[in-house]
Amino acid sequence: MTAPFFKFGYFNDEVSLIIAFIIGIGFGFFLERGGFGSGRLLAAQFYFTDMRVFKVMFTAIVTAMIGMFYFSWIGFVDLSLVYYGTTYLAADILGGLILGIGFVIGGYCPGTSAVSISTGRIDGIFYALGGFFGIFVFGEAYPMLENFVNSYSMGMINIPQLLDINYGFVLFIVILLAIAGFTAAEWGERFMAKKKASEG
Amino acid sequence: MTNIKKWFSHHLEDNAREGELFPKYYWNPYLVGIGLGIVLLSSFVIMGRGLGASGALSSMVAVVVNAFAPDHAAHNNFYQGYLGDGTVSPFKDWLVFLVIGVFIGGFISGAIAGRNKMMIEKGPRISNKKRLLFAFIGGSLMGFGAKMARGCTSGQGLTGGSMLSVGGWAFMLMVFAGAYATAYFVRRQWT
Amino acid sequence: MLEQFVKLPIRKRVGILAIILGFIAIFAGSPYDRSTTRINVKELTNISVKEDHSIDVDDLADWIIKSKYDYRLVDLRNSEAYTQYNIPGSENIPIREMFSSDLMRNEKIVLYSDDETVAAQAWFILKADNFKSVYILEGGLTCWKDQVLFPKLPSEPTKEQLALFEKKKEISKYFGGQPQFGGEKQIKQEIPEVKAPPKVTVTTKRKKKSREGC
Repeated sequence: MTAPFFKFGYFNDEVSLIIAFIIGIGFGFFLERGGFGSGRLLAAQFYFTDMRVFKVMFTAIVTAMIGMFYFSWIGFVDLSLVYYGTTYLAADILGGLILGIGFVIGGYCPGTSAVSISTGRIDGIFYALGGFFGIFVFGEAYPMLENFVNSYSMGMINIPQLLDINYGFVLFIVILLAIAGFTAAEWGERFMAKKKASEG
Repeated sequence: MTNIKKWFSHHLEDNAREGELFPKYYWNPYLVGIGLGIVLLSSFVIMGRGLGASGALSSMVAVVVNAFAPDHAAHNNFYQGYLGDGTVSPFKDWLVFLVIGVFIGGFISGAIAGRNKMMIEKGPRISNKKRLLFAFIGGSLMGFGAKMARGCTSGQGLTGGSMLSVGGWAFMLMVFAGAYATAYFVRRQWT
Repeated sequence: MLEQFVKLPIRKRVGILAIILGFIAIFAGSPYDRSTTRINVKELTNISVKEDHSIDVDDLADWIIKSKYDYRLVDLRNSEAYTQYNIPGSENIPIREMFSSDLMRNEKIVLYSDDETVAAQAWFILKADNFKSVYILEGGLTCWKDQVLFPKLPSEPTKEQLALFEKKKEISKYFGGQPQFGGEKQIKQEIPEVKAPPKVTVTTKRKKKSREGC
């Protein structure tokens, strides 16, 4: 088990920052390639006209999920050393709801807003400023929200552990869901395109 | 002042041209997804952690608050989490460097495709000013929600989702639910 | 069938590949399951011969005095023996519970028990499970008591032995032991009560973990 390389001490903190930079370039590159620098494209997801948010996100999730599972299976990656967000159920649900509302009103999410700013979208700048403001409001309100935000903590738990199901089986179900979702998305896009054509 | 305004309005373009909704020269979204998935995978393999974006914004907010009111920041657990104990600059943070990379990666891709343009993204039925106002409001909600959920669509969604995290999936479901629910009420902005 | 597969658009090909991978995954077991592992016997034999796996008790005493805590010290005995006396800074993980403990593969782990046998068994278990740096305390707790807590002065000490004994006296006092004078005759040896050396808590031990959120 030689990976994750950083956790096994292959390089130090300074080099990890350079690596962050390089990974970030790849991240931003693909985001823009997919058109996520445009708020209008992103918002179209929620009007069923262009479902690329769902397609890109779910494809990325499935790709990385399969990759990590098989890397761990062959003994390349030590999955217990990989960090992902701890689950605080109440805060995750409410926070997700609020972020979703903000997403469709503003038209971006934090990562895509960075891409939009660097490709010149002015609304992206205002969105980011709004983001700072929202974080500031949260920071100020934190003493009051602290208990709620830390409630229902479940640690770094994943779905197979929670439901006590075979990990591979959950993987399989997710892949099936993804394919079903993509088929539905394609159908939805065609439907909306036909509707638009018949209206216009 | 008027010169600046003129320069701005000269470069701001209305992108609501009829008939040209979404240029076709974006990549196939599935390919983009696979590319993004490989980036995410390499982040897991090299660093043992996934991507993220909202943390970098929080670091900046914490630094600004600390600059203006250090005592207040010191007593607030949230800001303290980003400021640390003062030995390391909060900007020497993995996420900050990642977001800087995102800026540059996006710029490069946009430059190659000729999509770099100072403009305001919006639908045909709304004015520029209102759009910017909505962008600000949306951003505030996003910032608040992202910090509450300890992540954004990159962190909780991509990272948590691919590791099948319970919180990550719950978060993503709620994001889509909230967005779809509100889409009807802001349809004037986009369509 | 292969020709039909190649004719499909890329989307469908990738989709079918994903379904196949997912199906295989059902039978591959959980990646978080620590109860089984694949052992490379040849590699393990080579490591056993070549590498340096033991830590001297004097080195360990030195580390504790200097508050150097880049390792995890594991006491493999049962909990009664642990509460009676344990080396300061150690955690009690009986060998039975080792596979369900929170030991991580990238940590430096030092194992000890009363003698070296149990420690060697634990060493093998961890090494087989792909732990990177695992060490045995040479001589175990017996050697710790013998050399650190109750260092002995030979009956006809030379000058060097006397100087060495002076140093050992200080170390022994730090851990609450009693240096033995008078050669081979053993004076009453009281097992010191567990006295934690200044400011050791499990949290300060761990290297300051950088924030990993998003």
